[in-house]
Amino acid sequence: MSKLDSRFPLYAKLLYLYPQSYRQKYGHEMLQTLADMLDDTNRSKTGVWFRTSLDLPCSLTKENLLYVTNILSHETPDYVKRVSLFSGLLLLPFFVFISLNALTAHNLYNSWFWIPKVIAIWLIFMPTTAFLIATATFIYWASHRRANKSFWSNLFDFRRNWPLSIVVFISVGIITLAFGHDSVHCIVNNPINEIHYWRSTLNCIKHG
Amino acid sequence: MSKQRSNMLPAVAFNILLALSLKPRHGYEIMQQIEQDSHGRVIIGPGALYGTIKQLNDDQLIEELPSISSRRRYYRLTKKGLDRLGSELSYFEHTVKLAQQRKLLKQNFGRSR
Repeated sequence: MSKLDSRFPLYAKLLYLYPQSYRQKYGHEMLQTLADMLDDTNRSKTGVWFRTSLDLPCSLTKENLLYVTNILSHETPDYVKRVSLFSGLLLLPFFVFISLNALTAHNLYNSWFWIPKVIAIWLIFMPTTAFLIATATFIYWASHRRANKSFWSNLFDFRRNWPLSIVVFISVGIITLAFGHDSVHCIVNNPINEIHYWRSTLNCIKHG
Repeated sequence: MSKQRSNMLPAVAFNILLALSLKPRHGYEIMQQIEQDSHGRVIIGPGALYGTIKQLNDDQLIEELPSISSRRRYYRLTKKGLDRLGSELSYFEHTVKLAQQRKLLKQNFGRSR
């Protein structure tokens, strides 16, 4: 840990949120500039921290967006893009139906897409399929990526394969939500079982 | 005209080039010069400063000097950067002349008083 790191431990830690290449090149400079600003007697320390607290989130967002956009256009293989798009589309009905239901003050509970069979499709089957496809592609990408990194480092390099990572995280979120919802107390904890015994599960949901 | 406007540098990038037109500077000196040149209107933090420096460096409008100090990196304007600054300034010069012809500057000055 350098002298500047120990002087601004929180700021130094937050710099780890920048892309690695940016942090390696400009991280120390940013700490040095912050130190210069605070050492300048013409500046108010509160003002410096206030400005820095506004500047950091904006800059972090911008640099990470530039980083992921750059990765998508230069590094992401076409099959990853296609699978991300396809599996992302499988998650779309969940958001559409939940949003529509919320917008119509929950009047859609009586409509056709709120009947148990249809719910099971967009709430469990489609997100589970998206999760399985995205995870399998992620594993394939991690094992075939041409970089001097091990399989395991690739597997946890979520930012380098962010389109699939987003699909995996969102589908896990939806599935967790589905199983945590109060109407799903009768669904067994295994999605495969839930699909297999769908008649009894739906009956249970219907009658409580 | 719209094409020329869309190719213009963002305010922070323009101010960095302007600050480096006098001499090579390190990050904090650039920040101070920008505040001085803009009469305190342009105030930036370390994130915006180095994000823009990176962009200008990638576009080869500025370059890093061989290490003078181990603590700080110094940057200077390249030939391409100087040309770019010149074209930006000539646009502003044209705009100011136009504003003077239309007596916009005087009107605004009168209003602000």
